[in-house]
Amino acid sequence: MSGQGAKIEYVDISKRYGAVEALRPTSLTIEAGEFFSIIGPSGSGKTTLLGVTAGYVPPTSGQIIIDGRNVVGEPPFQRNIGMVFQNYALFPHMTVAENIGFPLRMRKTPRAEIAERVKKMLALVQLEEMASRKPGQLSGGQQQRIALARAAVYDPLMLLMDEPLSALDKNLREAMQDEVKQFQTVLGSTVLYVTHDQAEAAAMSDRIAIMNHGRIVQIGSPRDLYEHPVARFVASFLGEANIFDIESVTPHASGSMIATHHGFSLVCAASGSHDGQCVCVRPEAVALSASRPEHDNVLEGKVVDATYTAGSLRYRVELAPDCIITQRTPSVRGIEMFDTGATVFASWRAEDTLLVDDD
Amino acid sequence: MTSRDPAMRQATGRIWSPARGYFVILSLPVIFLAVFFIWPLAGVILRSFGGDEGIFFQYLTVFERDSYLKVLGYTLQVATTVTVLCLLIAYPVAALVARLQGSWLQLAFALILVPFWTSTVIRTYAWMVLFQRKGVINDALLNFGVIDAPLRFMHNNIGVHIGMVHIMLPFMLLPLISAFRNIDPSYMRAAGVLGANPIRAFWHVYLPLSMPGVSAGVALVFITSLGFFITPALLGGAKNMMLAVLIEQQVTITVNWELASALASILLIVTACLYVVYDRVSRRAGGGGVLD
Amino acid sequence: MTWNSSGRLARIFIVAFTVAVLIYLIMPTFVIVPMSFSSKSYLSFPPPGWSLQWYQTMTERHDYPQAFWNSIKIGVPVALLSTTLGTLAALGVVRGRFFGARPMSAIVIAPLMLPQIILAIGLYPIMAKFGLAGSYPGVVIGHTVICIPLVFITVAASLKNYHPAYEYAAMTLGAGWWSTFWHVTFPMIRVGVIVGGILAFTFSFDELIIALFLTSPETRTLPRLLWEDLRQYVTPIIAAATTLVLCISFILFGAVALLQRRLSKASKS
Repeated sequence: MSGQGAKIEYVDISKRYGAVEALRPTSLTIEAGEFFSIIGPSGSGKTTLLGVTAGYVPPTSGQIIIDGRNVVGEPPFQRNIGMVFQNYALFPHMTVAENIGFPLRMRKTPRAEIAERVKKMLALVQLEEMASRKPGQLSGGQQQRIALARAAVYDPLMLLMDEPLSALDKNLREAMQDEVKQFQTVLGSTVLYVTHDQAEAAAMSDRIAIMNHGRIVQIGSPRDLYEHPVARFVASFLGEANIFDIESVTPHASGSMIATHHGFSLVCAASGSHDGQCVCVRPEAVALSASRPEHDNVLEGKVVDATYTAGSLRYRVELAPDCIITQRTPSVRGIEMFDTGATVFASWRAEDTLLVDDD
Repeated sequence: MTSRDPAMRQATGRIWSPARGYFVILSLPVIFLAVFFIWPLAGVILRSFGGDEGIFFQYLTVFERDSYLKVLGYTLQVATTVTVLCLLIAYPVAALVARLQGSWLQLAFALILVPFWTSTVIRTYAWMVLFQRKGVINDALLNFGVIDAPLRFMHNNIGVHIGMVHIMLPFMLLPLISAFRNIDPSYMRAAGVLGANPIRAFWHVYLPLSMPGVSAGVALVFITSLGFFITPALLGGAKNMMLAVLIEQQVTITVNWELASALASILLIVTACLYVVYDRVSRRAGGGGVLD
Repeated sequence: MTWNSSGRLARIFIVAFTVAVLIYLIMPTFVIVPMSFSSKSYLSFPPPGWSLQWYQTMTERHDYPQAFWNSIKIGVPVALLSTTLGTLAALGVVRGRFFGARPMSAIVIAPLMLPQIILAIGLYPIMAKFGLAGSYPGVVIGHTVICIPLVFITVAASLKNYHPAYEYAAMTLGAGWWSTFWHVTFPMIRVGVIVGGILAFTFSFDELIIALFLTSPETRTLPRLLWEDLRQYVTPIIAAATTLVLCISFILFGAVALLQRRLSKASKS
């Protein structure tokens, strides 16, 4: 029961509903055994991609090649793909054991073998004692684990997960992230995980694809996407971002000098043209101080508000009318806090001035 | 191989899709209804233009003869009266029943559904028994000295109306009760707190909120009443005839299929128009329409 | 008079009115029951004496038992046929969601909204052409047309009660069309299907107009026999037959009420 994950290649796959292009021609390769997440706002095409992969949404064009075999045109019941649905879709009239045994029954597996494999799966998700319960008698987290077990019991080529944790409350969701990840590691399966929660995706995935308006905007490791967003959409969808619109870019000794709409001059380590670009600065990259520091970029402003949340301090600083930036630092014991209305200096390194597409 | 590859295009032409499967599933009932529902209706309409006397002869006959016009007029009049009576009777009853809880609600529902499950022939028969010259009602009225001679209930307007309201009342009560149960009682309380007296609160809050139920009930009762056959045939008189009874007589007694078909086509078109209008209105009102 | 006291008066009036209307709804039907046990041949209330003679006369005559069995012989196939077709129609329209699903459901529901006399005079020539006028298949088909919407409405409501993800899930797990229907869809809509079937049987058992046109003296149903007798003379035999029909209707009504209660309990848990 391990290491049998398949490699999936999407070649120009697309889906059109009448005049609406739900999925623009998309090409993508997911490696065997990879935990791959797709994130994006609702309507970005991520659920369509999932439906096309599972087989219940017929694509308009393109191919899906799983371990060298094009599965487009095959019905879902011939694809041998496992899927965990948003609300689990556990059959309410069957017991937990019958639910998990269902795919094996459909494959005409001998009774004794079904019993044995169901037992093994229940042991893996640690719910052996629930075998004869109905799904309605289980908690949300338990249903989630049963859904995982049911989708994996027949050693499918890959596991699809459609926002599987969205129905759980926040604390349980974080605990389940680790369980899902561990489950995948044990089975060695390829996972395509769809969510709108970027933190969830970042916590589990090897790679993430960000979708918007029916196409993939960027693919990369969670760290890649956060530290090197290619577009304004990626920068603001993944975590917080301070965005500055650009007026002009001129070459500079250590990269380029950027003039923003609000009249600031920012030093950037990269060189670039200002065509269709903007500047992104992460809140963590910004430092605040009471006196003017010696730094690549220093801007003077006034604290608009300060919030203390578990683990971090978050300030909003007004640099100019209509220009407020966010700053965040870990809240260490005894840290000095600025009052609202205090004059502060926001500063960051030239390397932290990121140039991204202004899509 | 790209998506423009001819082999690929051919493959995508036969792509499995759930919609295609459901289309196949739907074809069986659709064929059945096409043969045994659409074809008969088309036959009725076609036959109404048949006969040796010319295409529109039957329709001209219907609209030129007073006796047929009278039947059309009487049918509309009875359907309207029955609808209004049902609405006036059902509205306060539904308002009360909708506020009942637990076993009282179940009892009221059972009492409303019992006639729903009783054959129309049987219920009309019951009224015949009650309405006879020496029937229960006349006996009671005579015994209490209210009247000196037995009253005539049958073969006139009174019998038809009492019998039809009796049969149509559940069709008005059920949509009204469901509409009333959807009204949050806090609206009325809010109106009271805001200083509206009960009559104004009713007029400005309760009545508008109950309109989806009213329009559903009115449409259901009116459309069904237009085509009513059993009750007017048994309780009605020869002078006042409803359309469905006339159609049946034209077929079984006069054996004039063309005229019967013309009358049936008129009934069909009126009913279909009302059905479509009602569906549009109820969909716009957000009630989802009868079809959703 | 204050608002309060006039409000109370109004409330008493509405309660009294409601009770009166509910009595009006059910009383007439039950007047028939005691009359069927009358010892005399004329109808008076209360009956002057009690006897079972009308039930005896009814069973001794050949036409009443024959009509009763005809009604069953027609009602059962109507229930089976319309349950099958109505369920297929509901599945196709609700789950298919393809272009034209809405006009399709309008056509499926239409037979219930149209006056039955129109369908009756439309079906008769077609049945006559196929030699089915007066036969069992003829009237079964006629009733099935009107019963399909009854099943369609109850089954469509059950289907809308849950998300199609259950069916997609079954399919990704390896179930084909038939397995998906049999193991997942049918168990989820079972109550709707059974209630629809019972409604269809009851409708066929009570229906008159189609039966008037499409049955012969050999295949005539109980409502048609009652109708023919009613137009001649009103005797307590009719009351006896009617009481029998009422019993059957109420048994079916009770069955549906129980099923629906079980369903609402199941959906609560």
